Amino acid sequence: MLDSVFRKRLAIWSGRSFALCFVLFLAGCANGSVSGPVQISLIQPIAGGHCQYQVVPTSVTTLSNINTLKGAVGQVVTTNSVLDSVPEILDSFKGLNPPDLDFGSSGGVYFPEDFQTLFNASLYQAVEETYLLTLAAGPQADLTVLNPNLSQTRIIYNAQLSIDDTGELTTDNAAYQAYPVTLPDGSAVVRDYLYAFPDHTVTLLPLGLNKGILGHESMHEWNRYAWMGKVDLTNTLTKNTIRSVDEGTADLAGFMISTDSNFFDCTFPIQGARDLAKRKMFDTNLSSNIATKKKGYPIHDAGAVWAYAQWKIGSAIGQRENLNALERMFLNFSSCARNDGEYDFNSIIQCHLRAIGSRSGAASSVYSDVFAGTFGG
Amino acid sequence: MLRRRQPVIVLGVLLLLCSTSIARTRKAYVPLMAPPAKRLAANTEPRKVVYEEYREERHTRSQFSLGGELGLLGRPDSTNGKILGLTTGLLGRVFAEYAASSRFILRGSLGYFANSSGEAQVLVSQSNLELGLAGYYRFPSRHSTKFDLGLAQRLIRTTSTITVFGTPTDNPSSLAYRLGPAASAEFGMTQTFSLLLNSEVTFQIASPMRTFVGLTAGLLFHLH
Repeated sequence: MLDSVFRKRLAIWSGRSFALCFVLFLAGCANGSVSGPVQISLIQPIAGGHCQYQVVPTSVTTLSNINTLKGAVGQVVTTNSVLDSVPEILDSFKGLNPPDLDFGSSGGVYFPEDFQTLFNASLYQAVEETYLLTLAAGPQADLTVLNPNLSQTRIIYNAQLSIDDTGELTTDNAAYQAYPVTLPDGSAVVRDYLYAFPDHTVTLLPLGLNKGILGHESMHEWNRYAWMGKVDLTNTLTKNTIRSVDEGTADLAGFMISTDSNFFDCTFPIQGARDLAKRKMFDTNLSSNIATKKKGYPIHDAGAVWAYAQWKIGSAIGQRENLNALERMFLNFSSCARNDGEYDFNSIIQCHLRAIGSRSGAASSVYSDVFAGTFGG
Repeated sequence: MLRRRQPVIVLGVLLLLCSTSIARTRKAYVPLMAPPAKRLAANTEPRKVVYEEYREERHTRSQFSLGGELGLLGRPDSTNGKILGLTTGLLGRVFAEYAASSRFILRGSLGYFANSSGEAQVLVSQSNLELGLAGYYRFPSRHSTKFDLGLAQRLIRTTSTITVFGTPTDNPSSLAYRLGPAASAEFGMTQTFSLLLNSEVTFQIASPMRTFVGLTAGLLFHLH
């Protein structure tokens, strides 16, 4: 008798339990994708500190879908394929898939519950922050206007690709690539890629979690569409100068979103070689062959000098103000050319001083110090 | 290295325990008939019991069982999947099973699984407490091996921690719900113990829906 009553109750409760499942199932399925602005708990540098971090809710405003990390500034994707070996991938995005993500949520804040989710959400957030950084200079600096296909940018997590002559897959690095594609109808388009290569030797902060590094790469995209893409790089002096300024300005963006002048060392212990606050000079090693070295000019070293000069000028007149002046200059970059139509550091420096305007005195003395003896500067 | 081998070691110990219990229970078997002296005293004929009848009797009576299982819970991972494209975590469960009839089994469980992933100075660790209820249909069998097919549901409370340069930050805990088909095979080792192999594919009810694959092995202790 007891057994019979027990069985009946058990059957009722089992039935209720499975009915509840069904309701939850339907409720879960009805829960659509969440779009920005959202708060995601991410690793952020502590303002003004060096390699100091905290996990805090971070606003991400441009996401159209948190589950695929897709939004106005691009989409985070991944693939197991080696990108060089399957050209269709970069040609048409075919085979690039959203990474598997695992977000929890509580109190309106999403938090990554595994490393991959943390890494990929951090990639998107850093790219977005760089976009917002450049946007602050005004609507004419809006990368969504400069590059109407910005949302098509693919941020490739764990990219397997060789970017040098060795043919070996690149690791422990990040890169931006404007990839030209000719479509079947004969028209030409450019696909934008931001690569986060696998970390193999990094022992400190993983690359994708270092906002400075992602800020650096994202700034290359802004540079390309705002000014670099309009410059004829046939002349060696122009090419080496422009590429150095590109690198240095990208370092400046990395510093500004990480608030750490030595953000490189938080991932790669390179003893401050790219520390923006470390004094550098545009010496004869950099100036002597800038007009002649067609291949292998040290654009990162020359860029580090440019970045130091910008940091120093920013320290004097305000980092935000200096970046605004730089962006104004870049957006009107044709006016910075020499009379012969080519560019060198001197012509760009003069252009930057004009863009700064009334407070250019402090910048002028920085340039005189850093570029002393170069181009009569 | 030892941590990776833990599931194998634990399964080995379980199997050892299982074989021990076979040896003991065989000695403790209730004989088919009373010893000759008692038979004579009772002046009764020994009752003939057909093997199949005995099996049928076992099937039809209500039965509670308790058990424990260990295994792996994996989630498909397009980039970092290590085992068959899955990111896996260790899973352990204790459960109570009730055979409501000869064909319908209910299994309630309490489980725990954990995993961690990271690079260099960043680690994300996750621990999950899982409350489960599964209902199974038991396929007819005249053998000591039984096959069950059913539906499993799991309510999971997840807590995760992000550690950066040695400083941990706890995320708030979250609740998730998974539902999906489950299948198990029960190998009767003795009248008291069975070896249980269990597999399930459950879907976390969220958008996007996430799939989990669970593979466990354990022991079932039948209460009489």
